[in-house]
Amino acid sequence: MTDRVPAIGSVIAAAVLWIALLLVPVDWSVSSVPAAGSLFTVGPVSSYIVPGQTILPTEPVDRVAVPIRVGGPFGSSVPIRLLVLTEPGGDELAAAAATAVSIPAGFDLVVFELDSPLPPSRWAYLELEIPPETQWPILIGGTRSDLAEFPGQLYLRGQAGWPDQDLFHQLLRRQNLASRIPVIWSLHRAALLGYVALLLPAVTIFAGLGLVVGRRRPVLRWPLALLPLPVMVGTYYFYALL
Amino acid sequence: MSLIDLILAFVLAGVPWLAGVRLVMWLAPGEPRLPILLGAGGGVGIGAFLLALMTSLRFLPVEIAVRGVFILFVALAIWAAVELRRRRPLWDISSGWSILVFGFLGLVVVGAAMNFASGVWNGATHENLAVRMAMTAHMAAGDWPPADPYAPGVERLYRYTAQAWGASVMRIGGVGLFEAVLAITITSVVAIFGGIFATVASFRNYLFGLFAAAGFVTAAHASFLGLWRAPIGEYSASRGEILAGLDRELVQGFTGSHGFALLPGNDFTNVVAIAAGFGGAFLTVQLLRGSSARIPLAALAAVCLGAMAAAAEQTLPIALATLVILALGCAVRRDWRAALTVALIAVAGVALALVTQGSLSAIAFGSEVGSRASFGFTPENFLTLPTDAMLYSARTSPFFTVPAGQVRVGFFNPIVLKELPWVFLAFGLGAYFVFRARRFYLVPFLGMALTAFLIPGLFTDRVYPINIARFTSVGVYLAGLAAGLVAAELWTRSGRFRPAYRAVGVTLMILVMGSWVASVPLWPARLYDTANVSLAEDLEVAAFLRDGLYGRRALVLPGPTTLAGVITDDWEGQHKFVVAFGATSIPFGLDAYSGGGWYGAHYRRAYDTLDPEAMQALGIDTVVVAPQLLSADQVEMLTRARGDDRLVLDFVSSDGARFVYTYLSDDND
Repeated sequence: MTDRVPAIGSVIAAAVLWIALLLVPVDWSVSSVPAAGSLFTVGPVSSYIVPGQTILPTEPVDRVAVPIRVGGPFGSSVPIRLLVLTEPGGDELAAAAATAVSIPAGFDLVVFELDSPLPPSRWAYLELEIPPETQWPILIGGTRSDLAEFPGQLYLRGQAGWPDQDLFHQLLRRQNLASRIPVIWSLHRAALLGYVALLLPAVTIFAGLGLVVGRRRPVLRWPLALLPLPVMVGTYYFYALL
Repeated sequence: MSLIDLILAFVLAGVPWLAGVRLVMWLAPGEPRLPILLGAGGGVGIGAFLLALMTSLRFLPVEIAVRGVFILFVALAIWAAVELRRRRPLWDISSGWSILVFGFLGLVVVGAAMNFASGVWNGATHENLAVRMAMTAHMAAGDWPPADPYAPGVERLYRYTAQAWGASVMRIGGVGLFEAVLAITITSVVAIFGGIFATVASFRNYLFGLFAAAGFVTAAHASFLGLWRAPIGEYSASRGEILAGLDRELVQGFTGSHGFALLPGNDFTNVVAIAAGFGGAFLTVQLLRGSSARIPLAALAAVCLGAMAAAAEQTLPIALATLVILALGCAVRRDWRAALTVALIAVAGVALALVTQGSLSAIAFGSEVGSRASFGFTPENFLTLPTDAMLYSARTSPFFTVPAGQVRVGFFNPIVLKELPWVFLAFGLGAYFVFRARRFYLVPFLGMALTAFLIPGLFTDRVYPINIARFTSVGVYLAGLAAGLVAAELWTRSGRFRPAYRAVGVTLMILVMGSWVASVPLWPARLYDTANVSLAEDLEVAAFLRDGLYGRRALVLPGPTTLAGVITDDWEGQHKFVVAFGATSIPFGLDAYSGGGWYGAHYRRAYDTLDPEAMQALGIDTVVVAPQLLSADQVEMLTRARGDDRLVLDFVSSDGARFVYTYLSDDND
């Protein structure tokens, strides 16, 4: 009876952890980030010199991250609104508000949580609304990386800039692992198989550890065999993506 | 690539291993333990196979040499299987420990396979594919001695031995380049683990063998402790995206070098060499333990040493220094016979290495072609380590900053103390155990690691200065091995301070293995995206080129014209598939180890203008084109050549991303 309690408890706890790993929604980056070295400063931008960017997301998008620099004393902040339109001057698809803060590192990567997700495979236009009463100069990050993932281009005051210049941005999608697996399978199959290939020896290691320790301390056999792996995987996974 | 080919490649790569088990059973007849026989068999078999193959290739036609050596080793392997069945050696490891160790070894193998595969299919590293695997493909298709894929009229003064093993697997099994090299690389990784385990366990116990092997395969050049404060320098709202880029950096330190985990993807020839080296180490240990078969043991140890040196010449000075330490130790104990035998292993090993063709024989006897490696004695650099990035891992670690232009740092520079604290801890505790606890067996292990660290401070490579950092790489792996032994000593200490000893031992192993463990979840990120966006079509072109007669020489447009270009992802990486999977030469003279200057000058003219004289001088008969990547000038140049009937279209890939033309020179008009 005493051996059964840790065994059943371990099975239940491990199952809960693995299920949480599969079902808790996390943020997946659905656009590549250019190298930090390719970032250059655009601006100052303002309510008059409005920065924008055309985008063509390959998947639904829930959040957009943009590096913004507030040119005031450290800690000073500016509320900024992100509008997503069908095209420059077009209809509104979504909107979000966030606060950019002046930090020692310079650019603050501001994440805008959209009020409704953007549909995939449709052109859209992002525009940053800076309040006219802002007392600090505002700069935004641009890039010349010309990545395939950035098919659009940078706009200022509603006018297109150089075709190889983009507003430095990242598109994110909130999704749980269970619904993400088919996407990874279709787009990054080798990586998914790599994770499965890693899990097999990792499971074997902890099974062996449970047997080794369990010979002297039977009560630890099942907890050691079943729990460390989901705890370690969960820690890494949620730290990385949550 | 098919599963059948993959299985066949692994079976063929496993033949030397099983043959090695037979040799070990013969030379250590009193060894009843199956883990020791299997562990040692890999390195011994690989060493014997490589030297037999290279010696045969020197004196016999290539087909006879390859088949003859395989027949011999298949016979030995069958004999080993029969003997194992008859003798039924003992598996004396509990099921729990067996499962744990095989799980750990499985993780090491999966990491090696992923790092290797990413270097081929994902553009993660390039020298392995573009240089060493290219040479393997040309060896499998061409005659012997092999021509340089980048200077086809010239012998490349380079190590051939591991490539020859891969090429022999391709010839015998008819398997592809990827399958063959993957199989020999993974076999060697397992052989290294098994070889260290068997060598150490044969004179201590299994725990010591496991700790030593684990330390060697997981030791890394950068401290994971810096992860929390690393100035990663990426702008991403996703920590996952940032972490994904950290895999290499975690096991790659300020020397720009790399931990053993990255070695299969960077340089499979080193992996093969180290496997053979530990085969020799096992045999030397058996000899010193008083085996009755002294002469055969010494002879086979010398064979393994020779094979190791022929496969990766930079391992030779480290092995020689270790043998000198061993001989001195025997002399101090007045065991003159053992001292003499160890000295003879060193001499015979060097002599056997010189029988094989490649870099070492070129260094010793000179060559009429290419530039052999040459070394300078620079004691002014004593007790320093190189900081420069190696060619195939030229990325900056986020964990440290060496001022720009500072090519060396002292052993006791804060940056070394910060990144490699466990090395100092292992050496310090190792010295304590030697002097206070009379654990003299640690001396050769500490000595080999110290030798590897000292060499870059005493010698420089005059042709490629950066290559001296290879010694630092090997030094870190060997320090990991020594740290494992020290940790096992701490773990098995008795007395009232036992918990404290154990705590120090565990801390040491955490410092050794921490970066590797932290990098494990990041390995698949290397397979996430590919730089080779037209991979399927590149492989179509490679199959077309390979199906013709061997000896094609191609101009690749657009493509590299220098070594620096070869190891980039530029031009969608098409040149890598032409030269490696297509077994077609790109005659631009890669570097100083072949006729780089002459080929480079002519290829540049051919590349810029399709100059008929240059094309003819280089013998170029094929032009491979990625039409969507061409500049306007290149389009015009090709249009003109087609109009002059110099180019005839031979092949178009399925989506039109690659064209192959035959070039008609005045000779073949």
